[in-house]
Amino acid sequence: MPDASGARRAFLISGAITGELTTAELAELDTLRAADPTVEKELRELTDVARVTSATLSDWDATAPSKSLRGRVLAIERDSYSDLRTDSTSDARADSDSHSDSYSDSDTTAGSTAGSTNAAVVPLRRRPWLLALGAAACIVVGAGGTLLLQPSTPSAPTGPPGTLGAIEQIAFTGEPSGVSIDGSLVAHTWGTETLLTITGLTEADPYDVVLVTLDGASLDSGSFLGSAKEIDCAMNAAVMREAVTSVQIQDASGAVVASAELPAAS
Amino acid sequence: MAEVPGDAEPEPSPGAAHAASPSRFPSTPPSASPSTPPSFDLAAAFDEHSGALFGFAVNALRDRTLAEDCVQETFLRAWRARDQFSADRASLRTWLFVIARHVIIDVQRSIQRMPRLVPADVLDDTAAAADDPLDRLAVIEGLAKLSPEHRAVLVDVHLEGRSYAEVEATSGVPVATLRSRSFYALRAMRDHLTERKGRNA
Repeated sequence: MPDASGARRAFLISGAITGELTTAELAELDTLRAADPTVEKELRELTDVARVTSATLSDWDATAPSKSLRGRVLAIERDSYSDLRTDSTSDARADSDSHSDSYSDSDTTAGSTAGSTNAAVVPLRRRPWLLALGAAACIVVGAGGTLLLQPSTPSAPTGPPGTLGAIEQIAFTGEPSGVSIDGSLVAHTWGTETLLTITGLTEADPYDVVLVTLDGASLDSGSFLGSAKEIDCAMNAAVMREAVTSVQIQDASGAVVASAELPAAS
Repeated sequence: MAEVPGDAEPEPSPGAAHAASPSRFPSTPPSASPSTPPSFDLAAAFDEHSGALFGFAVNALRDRTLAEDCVQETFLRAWRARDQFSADRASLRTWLFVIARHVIIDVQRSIQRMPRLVPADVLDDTAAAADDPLDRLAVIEGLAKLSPEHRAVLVDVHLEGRSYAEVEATSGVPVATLRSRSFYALRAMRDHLTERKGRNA
């Protein structure tokens, strides 16, 4: 509990920040400032904090999340234990099947491995916003600028393929001479993000990025136009990384321009 | 010197309403055996912290669906990394906020990579005044970490520009209490922003 002078100090400083002190309170604050130099310092600091805060936001959304979110989060634990039980009794399961369980409740739009018999799932698979963004966008950057594709924070996730949020480098093969393609994947709870940096593809020609799944389905992750400049693309597909076996870049005729085979993800 | 307001707020507890519960995490790594499940109380953690985390995400992204996904992803990453958590180093609340910050940054970066297709209403508010997106995120995180009472007075007075008297008229909370809460909330924000700036430097 603050002492009386501390509480009065707080009362005066907060009033001064918003300019709501009475004449008597102003005089009192001046007296306090003269006696205690930390008052002036704190008044200046907190005024600056108030200014930055009000300059950053104009309102605050105080609504609660939907009730369904709790169930989705608690399913993480349920499914985790289900995974452990499944894994402990499925030692002989082939690698190619070992990740399909977390995909088995996928929406039919993914056209994927719904036939898996291992039912452990994390419920969130995709969101409408993802589908809205799914056609992908590309940024053509000038010679001097390349967007960062690496995690911006030192503690960004790392780990084997399939680690949520971690950037997984992939290697394309088969690209025509003069074409350079650097690719990465990011596994998300809602699907798989493909990051591409491309040079050398025919300018203005359309190309599709396609993810091939364990069951052989080809999922369109977006399209882009070739450019004389470096292309930096980020594309999303509503399919879990565990279910993706390769990434292809196809031309307008459907011919594969380059392909990256992926390791099994966990 | 004038008399101290009788109902002045107690010494700073802007975040005390959501005090962390580090005991809910084991101090030693949990067993991976299905027969001895780890003691991370996911439900309790969600009940105690999801509101603040959602507030952080929804005000950073201005999209409820994205924000809920961020909260879910935060708890998923926390669950998977629960054996890495140490209550000696940070509270559960602090740890969850760190994870949430990374998730939100990931989402913002994904949005920024898709400038042509993001619905305008998603980004209208995200391009607000702060020049550095991390500065903006730090302000929002600081507000999200405050107790609802301390946050409310900052929102009412400093975001919406209402006077303390006006807030008293609608909330019934005396001006003296509101001014005390505002002081300690700003102090907590100052400490948070100073800490964030130090980490980002």
